[in-house]
Amino acid sequence: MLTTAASLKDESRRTDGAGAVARRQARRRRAALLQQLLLLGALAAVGAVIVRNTVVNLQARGLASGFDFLWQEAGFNVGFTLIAADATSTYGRIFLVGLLNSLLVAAVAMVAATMLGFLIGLARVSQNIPARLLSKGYVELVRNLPLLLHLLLWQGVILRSLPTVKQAHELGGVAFLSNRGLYLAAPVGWSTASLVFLGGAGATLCIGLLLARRAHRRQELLPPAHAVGMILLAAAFIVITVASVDWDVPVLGSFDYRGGVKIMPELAALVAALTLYNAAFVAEIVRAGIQSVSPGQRQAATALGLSARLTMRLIIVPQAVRVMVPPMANQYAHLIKASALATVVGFPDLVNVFMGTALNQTGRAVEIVVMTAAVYLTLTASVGLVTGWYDRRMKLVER
Amino acid sequence: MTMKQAVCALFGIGLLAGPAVASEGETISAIKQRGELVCGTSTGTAIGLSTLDDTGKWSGLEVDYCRAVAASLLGDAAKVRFVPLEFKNAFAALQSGSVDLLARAATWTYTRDTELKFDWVGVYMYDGQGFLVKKDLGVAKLGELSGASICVSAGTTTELNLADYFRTHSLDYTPIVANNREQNLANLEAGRCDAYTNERGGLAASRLGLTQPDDYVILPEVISKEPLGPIVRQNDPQFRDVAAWTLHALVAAEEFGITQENVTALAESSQNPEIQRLLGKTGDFGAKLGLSNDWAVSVISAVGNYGEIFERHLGAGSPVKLDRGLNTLWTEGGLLYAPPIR
Amino acid sequence: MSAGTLSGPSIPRRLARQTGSLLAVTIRHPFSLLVSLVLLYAAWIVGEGVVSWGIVHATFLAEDRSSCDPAGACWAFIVNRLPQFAFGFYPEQERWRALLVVLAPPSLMLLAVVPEFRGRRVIMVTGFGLYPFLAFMLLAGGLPGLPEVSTEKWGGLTLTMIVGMSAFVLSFPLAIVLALARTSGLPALRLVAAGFIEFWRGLPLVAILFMSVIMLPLFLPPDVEAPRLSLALAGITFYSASYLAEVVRGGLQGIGRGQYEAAGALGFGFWNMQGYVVMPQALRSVVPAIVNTAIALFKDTTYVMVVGLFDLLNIVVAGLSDAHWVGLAAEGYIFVGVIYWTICFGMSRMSARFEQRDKPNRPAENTLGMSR
Repeated sequence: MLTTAASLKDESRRTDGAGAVARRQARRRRAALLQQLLLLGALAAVGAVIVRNTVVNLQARGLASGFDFLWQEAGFNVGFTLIAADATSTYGRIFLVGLLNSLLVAAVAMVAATMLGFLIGLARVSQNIPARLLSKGYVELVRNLPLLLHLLLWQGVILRSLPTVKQAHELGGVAFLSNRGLYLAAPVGWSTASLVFLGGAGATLCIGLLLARRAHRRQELLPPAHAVGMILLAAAFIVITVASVDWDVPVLGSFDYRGGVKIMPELAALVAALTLYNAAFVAEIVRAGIQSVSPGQRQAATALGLSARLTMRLIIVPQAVRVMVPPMANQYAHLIKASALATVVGFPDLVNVFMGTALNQTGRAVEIVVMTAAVYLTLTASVGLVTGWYDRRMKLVER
Repeated sequence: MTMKQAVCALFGIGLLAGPAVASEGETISAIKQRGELVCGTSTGTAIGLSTLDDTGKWSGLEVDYCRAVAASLLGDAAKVRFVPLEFKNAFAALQSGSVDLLARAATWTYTRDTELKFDWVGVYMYDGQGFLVKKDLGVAKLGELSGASICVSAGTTTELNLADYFRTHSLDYTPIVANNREQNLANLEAGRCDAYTNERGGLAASRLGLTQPDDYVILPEVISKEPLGPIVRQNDPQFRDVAAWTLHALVAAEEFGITQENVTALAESSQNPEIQRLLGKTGDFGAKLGLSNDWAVSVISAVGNYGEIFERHLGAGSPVKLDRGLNTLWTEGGLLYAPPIR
Repeated sequence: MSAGTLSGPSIPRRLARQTGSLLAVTIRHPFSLLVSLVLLYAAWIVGEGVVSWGIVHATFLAEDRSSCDPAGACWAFIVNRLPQFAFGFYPEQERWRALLVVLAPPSLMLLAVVPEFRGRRVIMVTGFGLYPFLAFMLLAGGLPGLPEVSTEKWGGLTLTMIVGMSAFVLSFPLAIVLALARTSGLPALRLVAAGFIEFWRGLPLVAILFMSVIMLPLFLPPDVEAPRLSLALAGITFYSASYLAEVVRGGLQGIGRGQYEAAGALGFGFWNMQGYVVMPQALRSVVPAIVNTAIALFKDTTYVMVVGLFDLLNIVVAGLSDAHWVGLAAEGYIFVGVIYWTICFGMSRMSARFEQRDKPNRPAENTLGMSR
């Protein structure tokens, strides 16, 4: 890597005796130390000036500071909450509500974008020419448009093209779709028996996964009969569970459907925009990853008699994933940050409800901005940590 | 240049910022130094209060108030820059100093006045919170809205009042919170919400922005007091006085019958001592505020008196056709009452 | 994968080969044929609808919404408001200045595709380098012959162009300094650069803009002021610089130690070595990633909507609430989309050309900075 300016200058001189070299090295170290001290000093000074300005400005404006507001009653309702919250909740709880909503959007969009992106990425390198052309068309269309435009577009589409609540589309009597959102029947009243059935389904799936893993470790595939059996058993358990619990089916009241679970259209628009936009980038990462695997690998696999699908699954994808991890990490970090666009469509995420409404009501600008920034820095840093760990793990497997 | 020098150059810039000293009258000196007033307004869609037209020209009652302050402080009503702000960012912008003055349909409340360290310098619009609903919903009074989805703007008092009212009356509702009026109206029209709640004046104006204004009606109930007024930061009492007395001058001018048309003539000829003092014929009332003596003349000749401004943007002469209601002079049974100029 | 490489056989031969392979594939895999037919049919339906709505039944000239054919698009909305979408609220008689500012970057970019001539590189580099300053001076005016126009009047495509271009050009030197600092031998310098980069990369642009435009005066001395546009530009520049710095660092990592040693042996000082030996190689190797960052940045300029600046997207959205033209969201969004798409796609094509010219017959590389 680079060395310092001073050291390079020194190196360009001709060397004399050993004493001179030692002296020069000592001088170089002193210079480097001095430079760094100067830099840190300058930074500290800049930081001090900013802090001083802020304090002076806050004092001049007589503004209160501190985090005590987090225990004060907020007094407003939030339209979508994952934990119970109402107008008597504290600002601290509003912070949690916003944080959880942000995480929900990011998590759902991340999973959906990855799956869709993988599909499109595979289509990009498939043998099927229409699939290849269409997926290329999709990628080029979507990734060259601003995310904000996607978002406004989806919001408009949902608001204007879905029916009003009175004319909601009925989906099999258990789900209703209107421009106020998607209403789904929700399970209520879990009995012991239904919990046992659910547990049975979970256990079957776990056993199946363990078996598949063991087979994979032996470089085999789970016998198809076993796999199908496991899946059927789990499905049976799930069907029994579904039948054994009570369902809270949404019913149209005087204004709106009541009961069940409601997915608000702002959330849907946000997730749709984030998913479709990021899927185009994921697809490109997948394509680049697959193309980075040397053609010899595919030829060798074919020579060993592996089918095209098995070649893809056992040879190409595992190698491609390694190349894909760092850009995927970037993409995930981007997606988490982009979820803050919720504020544009009015979905109550952290930026909208905490850095927006709560900030306006309390006036604790510095505290709220710092808290919000800390959340995002932590989230993006943890994406880096997790993918870094995964990356290292993948590299170890290679040996 | 060595790396060291580069680093010093890069980070040294920060040090030049120098000591931060806040002094009395910092807002006024900043305005005079830059030669224009920075006024926070709506995003340009508050019909009657602050709207932005195709050519980038601002108009409305709040806009005219800002122009009046610029006229009194700088002698020129055109020396004002409008900063469109979403409501939820508006207070932060005033606190941080991004704007000098906020004229953005902000309700005067106890907490905002005390905790946010703002000063409402008066009230330019006495209003109350109402509900705009579609006629074919068949709702005649507020109590029937239980279970409805209600559109409301983020960070406003209307959001809090709504929560209070529905809770105390044991009514149920879903808030559909948007950042601005356009989004709220789009939601209402599409049937995303059943009602849109805001100040009634604002609702009457908003109705005009709908495709079928006649399909909508404002419910009779008024659930709150919404005194809307201009806000300044607390730390510059002199600027506060200028902002307050500019508003008083507009109201007093209506009371004295001073209009945009006759103000220059009256400044010369009026024998009423109060008019003489207001318009700077006698005394040094301008100097007491740190302004030129004819400041009120430049204000009124630029924007007219309060009545003229209201008429132009909200009254019978405007598309909104809002009744003046409480916003008439105290002599006519309203709440507008300027302190004596003496 | 032969598809996608332009330097292969001639187009008819390639077409013939692909048609052949299509036949071969469909004969071998009937399911694939079915998928192809379904996809083609879907594409046909969509394409036919778009043409019928967007061209056949569209109205291009009208006074308001009601005189538009309801069966098709109402492009008259766009036509009527085109000057506003292009120049914002810039005074009518001064619009030639805004037009120059909008046209300059594409014309400079065209230079990159015309055949090589003497001084092309110099013109392009100085042109782009000076663009932010010249464009600001031209738009702001205040010189003899150029009346002053406040930044509040700037808007539409002009604002988008100046924010996007300026943020990119200004972030470049900052990114290089940051990348050098992050790879430097001094731990403190490395730490500071890494902290700076991770800070700006870790925050949502929405939050950065809110902080820089609305909150910044709180962190500055009371008498320091700047127009909102400059504050937003500063925020976007730091954001973009931190992304660009990582791209440049990627390029630096590809430079062998021998290059430094050779330059040192030739007596190059630090900045000469960077300027003549290291940077030219490092930057060239990451041109595609740089262009990707530029594209991302250009799209991200739409975020200024959050702080109430009227860029292209925001001014069209604002126009949608005009009572004469209600319900034309589709036309508005498509118009904005076409402009962004053309510019971004054009840039990505350019980068592909560079890539091909520099290293033919190599598969597309997985580039850093792809995200956004």
